Amino acid sequence: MRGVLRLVVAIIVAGASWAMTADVQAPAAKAQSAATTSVTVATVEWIEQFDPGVLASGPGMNYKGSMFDNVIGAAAGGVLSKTTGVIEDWVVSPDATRIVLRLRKGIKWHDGTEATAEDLAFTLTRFGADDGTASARPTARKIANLEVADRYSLKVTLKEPDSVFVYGLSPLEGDMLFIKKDAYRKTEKGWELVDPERPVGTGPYRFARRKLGEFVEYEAFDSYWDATRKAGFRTLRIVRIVDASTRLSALRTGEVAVAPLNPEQLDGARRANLRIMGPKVAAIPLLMFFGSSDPAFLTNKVEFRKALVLGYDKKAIAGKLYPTAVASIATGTPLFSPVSLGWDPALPAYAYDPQEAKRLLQAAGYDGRPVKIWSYPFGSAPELPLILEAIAGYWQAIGLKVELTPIDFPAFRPRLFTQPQPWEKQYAAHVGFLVPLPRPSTLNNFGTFMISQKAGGVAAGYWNPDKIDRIRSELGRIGDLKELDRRLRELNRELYNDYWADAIAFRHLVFGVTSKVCGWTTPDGMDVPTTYSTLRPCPQ
Amino acid sequence: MARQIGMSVVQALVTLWITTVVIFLLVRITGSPVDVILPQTATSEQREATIKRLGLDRPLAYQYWLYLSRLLQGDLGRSYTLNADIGPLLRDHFWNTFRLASAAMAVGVTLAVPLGVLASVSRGGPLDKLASIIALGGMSLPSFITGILAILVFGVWLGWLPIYGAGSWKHFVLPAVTLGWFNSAGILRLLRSGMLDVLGSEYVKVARAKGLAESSVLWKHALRNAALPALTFLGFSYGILLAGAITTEVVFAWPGLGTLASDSVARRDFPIIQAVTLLTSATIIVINLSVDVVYAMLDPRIRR
Repeated sequence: MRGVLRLVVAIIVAGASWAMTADVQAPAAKAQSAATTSVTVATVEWIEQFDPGVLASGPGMNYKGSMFDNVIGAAAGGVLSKTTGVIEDWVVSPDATRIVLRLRKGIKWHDGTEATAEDLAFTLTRFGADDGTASARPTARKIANLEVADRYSLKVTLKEPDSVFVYGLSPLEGDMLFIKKDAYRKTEKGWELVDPERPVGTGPYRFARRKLGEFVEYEAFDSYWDATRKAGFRTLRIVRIVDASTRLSALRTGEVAVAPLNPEQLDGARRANLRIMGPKVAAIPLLMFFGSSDPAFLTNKVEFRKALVLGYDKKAIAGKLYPTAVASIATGTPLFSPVSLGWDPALPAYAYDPQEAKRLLQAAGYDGRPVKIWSYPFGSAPELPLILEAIAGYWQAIGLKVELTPIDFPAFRPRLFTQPQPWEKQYAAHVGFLVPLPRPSTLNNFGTFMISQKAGGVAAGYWNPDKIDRIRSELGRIGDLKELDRRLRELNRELYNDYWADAIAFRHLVFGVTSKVCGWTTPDGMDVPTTYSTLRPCPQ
Repeated sequence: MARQIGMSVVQALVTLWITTVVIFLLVRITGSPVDVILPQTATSEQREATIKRLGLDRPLAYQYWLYLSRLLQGDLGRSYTLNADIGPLLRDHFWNTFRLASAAMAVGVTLAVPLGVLASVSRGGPLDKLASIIALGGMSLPSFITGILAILVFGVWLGWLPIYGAGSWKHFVLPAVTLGWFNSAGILRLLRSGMLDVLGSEYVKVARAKGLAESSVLWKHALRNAALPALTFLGFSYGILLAGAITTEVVFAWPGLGTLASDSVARRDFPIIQAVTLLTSATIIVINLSVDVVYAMLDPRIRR
């Protein structure tokens, strides 16, 4: 008996000892004792690998984005920049099939070697590889041929004309980052990092160390090529805190300096004297009418689509769910936004008009079939099921039958990829949300959300596929961006009266920021490139 | 006894094999990881390429055979989402959970054993009431509430302790107390009721009649028999803790098995889910086996 008791006591004491003698330096303690030259940031998503060609999209970028550069940079207002990316200039041929990219001279990798056009060619190759899962992959797959013209120039030939190809090389439309050829080796299925524990980039911060599941730490890269954008802190530490209340508490204790917040936490954050920062118009929840190109569904008729759009009070719903810091009411035609080509600020949001909606239902010959609402939360907009519940209530009030089906997005998503999409015919319509990023080229969003599967589309949400496929193809051939902007503006006005979908809000990203940080450049119109490389400390 | 242990080991192996089959099939019902991995802008071609790359286009039986044959060679596979071997990933996260579970167990036992014994002695008295309140609180308050409250009080208001992550001993305090309190409630109740039963038995009366000191009667003679049900519970709950105290780990951003499991389920990372499930099943089986052995050592009747 004594032996057993001793054993139990020994186990307990050993357990406590393990706890006490942990050898890892405490992140919090470190944060508390660190000089102002170090900053700790909390993130939610956590992709613990450093190959941007794999799973680089979305908040996973936060984990590693600060150690890489964009291929083409972006500036405020959804504009491509020739100063913030590694490409200093590009020339698009008039027929939009050939592009010459000019790499900036003197860009150093973190291992001290110089970046060349070979690295640029490899970047485009790796992102388009079979094992690539980044959102920039479709851009890279448009390439027919790459030719290194000299040490700093790369000639790109596309399979088809694409006037907005260069947008896909920027953080405005994807997650392409500049990567080093020598850091990879070829595998049977694609590419892999030669040393996954020693990743190399050209960004303002370089990798220092990490502990799986706990933190990744970067240090300032003193040889960074752009003196105006050098790292603001000596050390950047990124930790993962999934629970929203813990993130807010960590901000309040000062253990982290920057952390993403949920909409309902804004009041609490302000009471705790935290500042609210982050990019505006980072996502656009879009109410889609799936399968509307099929005449079997009433959403094939403009009267019915208009009735659905006018039949709920967008302002009331968004007003209740979104504080002003989190979103603004979406206006104009869906897929156009204040940062996109063809944007027309004169077009208002669709107005709530239940009487007109009722009349339109009759005009469309509504036959009493239910409207199927597919309800799932989305990573960048977890509030969508609430919005759909509210919309369902409004629609019932105008005389529609609705059938709300809660589902997980990964379980729903295969429907979009199936050809033809399997929408059950006993319903008047199939409705659900997708959440486009406000990609400024507009055309790339047409590709994902509007055009037919036959033409390479995914959601194929436009009611007249022949028309939109033709338009997308025509506009893709316009090499002059000013002309493209003008043509898109015309199209914007035309599509406004189509009621092909409805954007609910221009959703912003909100972060709580402590007094340790005095500046942070987060260009609007993007969520992908929300990295922490532009955090600036307060003056001592 | 050796035969008994041998039988238990065979049963354990069969259980583990069944676990591999069940979890392999169950995770695949939940949808494809490809639909989680790929960005919204992914094309059909990209989706097909990813399905093929992950081998998800092959027949289910072939996928299982591949998984099992690699498993038998000690290869747990590669994560779909993290692009990394699962072995080191699992090792690091399990180690963190093991340390937290051990610390929580230490807190739970330290709190429960003296309180349970003393509560049984002062039945109905203030100490018994205090023990009841502690047990009731521990059992009825979910750990995400106690965790958040602990963060608020000891982290935000008092500023005594760090509130997230794993590192120095200070990082263990809040999650270990949160888990330990929850755990102590069960031990305390079982120990108290066990002690009440035992204290009325003949052999305790004899011990007292022999003039033994009350402390010796309580801690040496009564506790030995009263501890059996609590010991079973202890083993079981330790297994549960090692299986990943998901809520507590998430609230305190503890990089353990629970966090890994919860992430992997959200990402449909089949190889990690399978590995975590197998590991936790094995852990619980080993702990149950150990409890059986300890039981037999404590109670000679079981050995016969």
